[in-house]
Amino acid sequence: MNRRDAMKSMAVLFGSALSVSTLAVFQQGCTRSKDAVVGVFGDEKTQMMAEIGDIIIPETPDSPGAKAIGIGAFMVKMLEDCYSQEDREKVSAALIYLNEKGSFSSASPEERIAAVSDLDSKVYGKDESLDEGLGRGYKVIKELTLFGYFSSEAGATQALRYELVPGRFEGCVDLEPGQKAWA
Amino acid sequence: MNLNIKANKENTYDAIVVGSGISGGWAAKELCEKGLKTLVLERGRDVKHIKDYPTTNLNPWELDHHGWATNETKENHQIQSRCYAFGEDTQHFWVNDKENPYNEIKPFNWLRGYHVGGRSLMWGRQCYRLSDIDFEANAKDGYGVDWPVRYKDLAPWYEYVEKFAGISGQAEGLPQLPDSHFLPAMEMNCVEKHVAARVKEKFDDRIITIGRAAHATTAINGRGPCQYRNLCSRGCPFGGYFSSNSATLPAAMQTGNMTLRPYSIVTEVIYDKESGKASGVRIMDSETREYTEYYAKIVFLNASTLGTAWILLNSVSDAFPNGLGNGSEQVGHNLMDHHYGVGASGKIEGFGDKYFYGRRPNGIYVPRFRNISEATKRDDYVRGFGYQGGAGRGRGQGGPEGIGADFKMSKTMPSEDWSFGIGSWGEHLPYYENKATLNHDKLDAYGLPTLDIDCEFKENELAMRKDMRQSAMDILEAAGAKDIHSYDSAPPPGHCIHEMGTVRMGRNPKTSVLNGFNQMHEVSNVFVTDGSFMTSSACQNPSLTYMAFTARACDHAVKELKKQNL
Repeated sequence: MNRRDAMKSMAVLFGSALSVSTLAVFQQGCTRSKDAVVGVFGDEKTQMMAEIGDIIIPETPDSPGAKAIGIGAFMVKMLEDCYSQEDREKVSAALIYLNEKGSFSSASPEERIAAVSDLDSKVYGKDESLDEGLGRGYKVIKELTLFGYFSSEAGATQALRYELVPGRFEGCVDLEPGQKAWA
Repeated sequence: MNLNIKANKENTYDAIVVGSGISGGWAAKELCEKGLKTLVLERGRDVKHIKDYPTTNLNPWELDHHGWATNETKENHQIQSRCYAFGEDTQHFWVNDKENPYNEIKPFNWLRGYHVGGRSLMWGRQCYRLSDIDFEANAKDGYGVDWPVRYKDLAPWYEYVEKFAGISGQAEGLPQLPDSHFLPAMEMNCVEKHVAARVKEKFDDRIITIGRAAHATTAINGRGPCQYRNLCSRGCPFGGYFSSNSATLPAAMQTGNMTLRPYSIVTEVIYDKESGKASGVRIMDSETREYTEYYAKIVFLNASTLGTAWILLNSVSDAFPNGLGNGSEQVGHNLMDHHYGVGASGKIEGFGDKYFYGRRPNGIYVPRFRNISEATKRDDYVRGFGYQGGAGRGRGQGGPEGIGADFKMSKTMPSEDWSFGIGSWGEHLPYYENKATLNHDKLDAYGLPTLDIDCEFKENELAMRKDMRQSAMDILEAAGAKDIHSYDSAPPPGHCIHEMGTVRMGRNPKTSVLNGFNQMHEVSNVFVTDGSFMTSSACQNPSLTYMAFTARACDHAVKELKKQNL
């Protein structure tokens, strides 16, 4: 596939979803690696999703952050096995968007947090200028971060409370201050 | 046809039970315990209690996708994956839809598992007796035919099966919902108690009681007690709930009288013209595709409502060109389910300082309160419905927006408020035109005919649904709920997994297939005790009724055998 064809198929994939500058970023990033393909997640994108996940769910005194529980690889597995191609492409679009203002991986931690925070408020603040597909892509990343983290061993047992075998049911107990939710 | 002809003697038993689900398990147990050498035929693989529950002790993080079904799984289970109990942890208990096709003349979800234990492994475990309001309904309003039994015929058999199965619940003394022989009731949570008190105060026609469920709240017959994991449909290593695998089949096995043959697709019941009885069944081994015949004095069909109809319709002979015992031409007809997926939910404030411990595998129940007396009679529909539901406190505070440590912490706290919701289970009238018929053009993976399923909800159900929705909102309002949201998701028939009625009981052989003992009018040594015998659907979850009728039919069959009437 030559570059022009690649650009054309990108445009078909996203419709009008991507701005010219985004396409340009994609074009620059067009290497032979898996990561160059929209909707496919190689090491670079996996790493980037792990960073985003860790920004959403960072390490706190009681429990590790999302990166430490392997959220990047989990997201890729889930995207590949449980999501549609359409959603995978939207996730790619969100990653491309976050990379638009410069390479996410070379940005400072503060810049990365600012970038994710900005996108998060645009998506949930229902910023009309934001492309819907891209917004969906970010929501999938966030949904998988929360689901993957809180159903992980550390998430369920350290960030939350978890018992595989409760052994009994008590329907009405006092909630102690600061008590965590059941996983 | 590859017919494996062995010596008849080798393939001859006293009784054959077709199917090992909730009713087949009971037939196996009762017949074996009464001393009959019994062959239990199951079309799927074997599932041994505990040993064959591969996911039962897995934590969420030990499942590849933390519980989510993959695209590939959904592709193979396009219909099954619509079920609430389907997931990565239970997918092995649901049929592959590609290998087990049927034809939806109208939308119908046929949700099933082909393995030893059938759906008794994944069932919802709710258990409610029918009452004479149900048994008399057809005779009173003229839909369907009269049940050939009344509550007094069945009451001792309800008690009999309850003492073995173990049904937890609270006695309420209601005529429309007779009390079972109960194990200790599970506890309501704070909000459910609060709502129950409000409902009692505001309504004189309805109450909230704890769900009646086949859970061993105390140990019973070597099973349980329930450990409140709420992972039931994976199979329970504690035997905390009733299933064929944990309860009836081990009891049958213990007698030494049971032979269990998995991978056995019964293709027909063999009719012997001379004796006017069934001589046995023909099976296809699903692995070798080889046909074998088995013979017995009596045959119990427990292959499920649609499975049993399929077998009877496929059992054609000169005497029964339309299917075995089908002179009435009722086999396959009068297909019913419960109609559900309509209800309301809302927030209950004021319990922020209360929480719970353990995962109760059960909810609350609002017994039927419509059309049970002159005072409760409706002019817009006949019959009635009950509600199931419960209160819960979720996880996480605040909205979906936000990132970082504070956002994380907010998601680790119990939700600000409790929510309370109820959904209804309504009676579906028996309509002759709601039916399943054989399709000889579209074959399944075994080259066998498939079923055309043509079933719908009609005016009475649709009128009832309006009341179900409104009454749910009324209850939520009485409970003081905030942000009340009502819904009607209108799932198609079959989705409630209470399909029944295709081989109905009745008093008249011209309009029904079975007599009051689940015995075929026309072929006296064939008994049908799965959901297909149901003359009306009532609105209660039906499994307990299948159990009671099965035990009663086994008792009758063995007595008749002893009198040499069969």
